[in-house]
Amino acid sequence: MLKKIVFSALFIVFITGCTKDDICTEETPKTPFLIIKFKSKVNPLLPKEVSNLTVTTIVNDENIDLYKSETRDSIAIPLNTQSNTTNYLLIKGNTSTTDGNTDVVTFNYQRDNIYINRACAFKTIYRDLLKLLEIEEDNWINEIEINNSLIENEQNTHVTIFH
Amino acid sequence: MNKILTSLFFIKVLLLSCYCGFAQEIERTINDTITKNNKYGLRVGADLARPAISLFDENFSGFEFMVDYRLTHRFYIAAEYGFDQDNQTESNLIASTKGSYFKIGGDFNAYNNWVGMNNAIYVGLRYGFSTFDQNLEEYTIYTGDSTFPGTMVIDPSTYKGLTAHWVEFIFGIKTEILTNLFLSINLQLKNKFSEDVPENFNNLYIPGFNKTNDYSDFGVGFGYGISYLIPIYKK
Repeated sequence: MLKKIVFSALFIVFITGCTKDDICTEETPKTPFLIIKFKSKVNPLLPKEVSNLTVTTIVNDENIDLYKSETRDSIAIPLNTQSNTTNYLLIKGNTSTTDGNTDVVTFNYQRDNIYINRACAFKTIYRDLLKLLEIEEDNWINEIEINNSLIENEQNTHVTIFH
Repeated sequence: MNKILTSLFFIKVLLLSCYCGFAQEIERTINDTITKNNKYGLRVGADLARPAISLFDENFSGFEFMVDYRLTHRFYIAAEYGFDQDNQTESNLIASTKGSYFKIGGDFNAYNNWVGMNNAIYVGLRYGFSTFDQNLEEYTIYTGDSTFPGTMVIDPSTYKGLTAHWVEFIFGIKTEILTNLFLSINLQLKNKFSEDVPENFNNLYIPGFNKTNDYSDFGVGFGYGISYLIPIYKK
């Protein structure tokens, strides 16, 4: 009896000695991306693809493309975790030969840093999301609607863009 | 199966016959010298492992006092008191813990000592209690994204007056190296059943419980102690 207890205790010591909480694994929920769906301005219920869409943001005077000339009806884009504002250039019809039509969208929000675990430390969630479309002569975006002003996961659509 | 049982029976018979012979020998001398050879008293000591680690590891300092009192032939009541300061430098965060702990329980000596000896191979059970402060110094935001990579956020916050409770199973060996002076080594397996979790953070270390685990309530530890027996009476 005593031997059994001692050996099982030693076994557990051995097992718990190597812990998995030192490594931040890929599947750990991280800072959520902003989920945007594109829908038709004529029929607001219908998803509508944007042809040759390029999504660009400027970080430290450097243009970073998140999507390059892709035709799709939804995108997931990160928000800046160090600032309450992120600007995006949404370029429709951008191919190797044509520049396309650029619309500038600004997202404003509040940030909360939430503890995850020892290895991954913290993630950011965003709340009170506001959008601003820069009005110009030929916007391809008709309207932007916020479906969810709290961005804490990537399960729901946060923003719908009608075009 | 039958074979094993038969061989076990023979081993048993052999052992019993040896034992009887041995017992007879003891009986012959029992009246003169060994009637009162079991010392009962208070054993006080300190852990050597914690100060030793403190010397080598600049992220840790700690000390532990230990005391036990022999109740019966095999049972001791035992307690430990200590204090720890531990800095956690993880890959994505820097934090520290400072506090003290108290453990109380009992030890059961499973070792059959030869006459006049006071060694022990023992198992013990403790209830452990700790009060401590946690400091979060800085951390990174996990974005998993290269556009806005996680940057270090320096945002010191202190969580004071936290408590934790656990039960602890101990397996150890005590040996008398000089008269009444004991060295002991033990392994500890702990299971935390209650704690104050700081809001939007976690207890990464609990004094006495040691490092916590994100995925279980188990903790481990070890001790290497020196103690002195203050004999009170013999039995």
